[in-house]
Amino acid sequence: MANPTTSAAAIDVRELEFAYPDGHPALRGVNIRIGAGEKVAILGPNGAGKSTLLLHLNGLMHGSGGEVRILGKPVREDDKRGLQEVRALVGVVFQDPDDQLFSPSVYEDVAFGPIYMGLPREEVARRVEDALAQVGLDGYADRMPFHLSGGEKKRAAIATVLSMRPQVLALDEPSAGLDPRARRGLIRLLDNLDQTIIITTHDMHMVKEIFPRSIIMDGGRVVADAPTQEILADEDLLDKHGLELP
Amino acid sequence: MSTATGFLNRYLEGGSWFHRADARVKLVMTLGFIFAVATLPPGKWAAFGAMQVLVWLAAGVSRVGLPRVLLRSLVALPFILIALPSMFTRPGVPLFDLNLIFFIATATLEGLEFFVSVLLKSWTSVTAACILTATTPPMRLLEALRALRLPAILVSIVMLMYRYLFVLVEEAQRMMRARAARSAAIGKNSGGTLVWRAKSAGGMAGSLFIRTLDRSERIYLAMLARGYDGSIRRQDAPPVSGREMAALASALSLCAAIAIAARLVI
Repeated sequence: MANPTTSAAAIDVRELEFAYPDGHPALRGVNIRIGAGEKVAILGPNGAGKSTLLLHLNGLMHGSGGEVRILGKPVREDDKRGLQEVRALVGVVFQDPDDQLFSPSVYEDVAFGPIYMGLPREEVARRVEDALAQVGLDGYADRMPFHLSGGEKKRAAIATVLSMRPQVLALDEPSAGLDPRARRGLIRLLDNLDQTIIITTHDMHMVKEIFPRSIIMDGGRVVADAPTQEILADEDLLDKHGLELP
Repeated sequence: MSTATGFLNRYLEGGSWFHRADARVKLVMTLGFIFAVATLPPGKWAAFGAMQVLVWLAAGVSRVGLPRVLLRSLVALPFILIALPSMFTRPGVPLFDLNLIFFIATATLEGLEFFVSVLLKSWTSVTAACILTATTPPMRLLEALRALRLPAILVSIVMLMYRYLFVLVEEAQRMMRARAARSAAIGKNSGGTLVWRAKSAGGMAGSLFIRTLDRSERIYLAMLARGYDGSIRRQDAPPVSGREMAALASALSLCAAIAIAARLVI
């Protein structure tokens, strides 16, 4: 995936600060740089700011300070056109698939992004088919999202962003609530995708298996950013931030 | 499948022509039929009968089954109450008197005829609608409404409501279960006092509301994340096939013929 013509990182977050409307600070000067094609896991206790960070990556939230660049493009609140572009570049998969699957049928959910990208009908249909095949849900187009199992919902949710052909995938706790078989399927799926992937998770086994780089966040700051092997070897570090060895 | 899916779902799987036909065709057909029934003047029993036979035929062809359709059509019963006064307000040949303390109401033959006509017409119409909902998934029906130029925002709201009604019902069920699990009692009435139950029900309604609000916020974010810009865009459905158009035209002509015949001939 590495593109020699652009040296821009897939994700470049600099001194990002964000506080919730009630004044509670969620991000306090976050710096993260992720190259194209990297697979990175963000670890840390609940309330560390992991999910908030993900929402900044495609401009669903905007920091009070610092900046976010996706493939060199700055994410700015006042640049509506730019925001639409960034949202096509970064696919965000929410933790609860019921939030992501809001349409009457799986087809319409997966087609939603491509339709808003202004693609012609045949291209939309092709992308839906491809995305569903990629997540192993061929033949599910006419199903009602509500009737899917937990694992199927999760894969359908991933298909809804894959159909936009994003460069970056940002997934919020993708393996949470899945049974072992569905989780195994998800791990295989994530491992096979060649996009840049950033996830938040508490699933240390999955991190160890397919994410070569880990970032630990705590209290709105990045407290560690290193190869997963090194992070997992540092028991004191893990213990200090409420994490457990797999 | 969850326990909440049976709730509110009138659709029955099937492979009949009615199930396969385009929802727009079925919707227009049903509306046309109901319109034709509504234009029938009171007392045209032959025409009422013809319309009812059409509905029963449809029930047969759709394989929904007459008993089920008739059972479902009982929702028309409350209309009796609305139509009842007409029995006494129409001038004509007196039938019987009803002493209502303050005044005496006189039922007339014309009034009775009108009342029975309204009853039959509304029952026939509701039966037709029952066949439509039994052979068309709710979402296809909403899409058909949009295709017939019902405002897109209205259709989207109803669609979202229908999509999340199940999620909400499940959430409410989980909360009730959680309450039931903690309201064991030994030796006296289980389930707590009425006041306690009322309080906890109020609390549940409140927290269900907050959860719903949170969820709507997250859904909105999920829509924004995929490029939603405030306008509602959907792909137009493919055009209706010629064969279905022909079926629609003949069904509507038949309805019109019966309506016209009822006025001119019978």
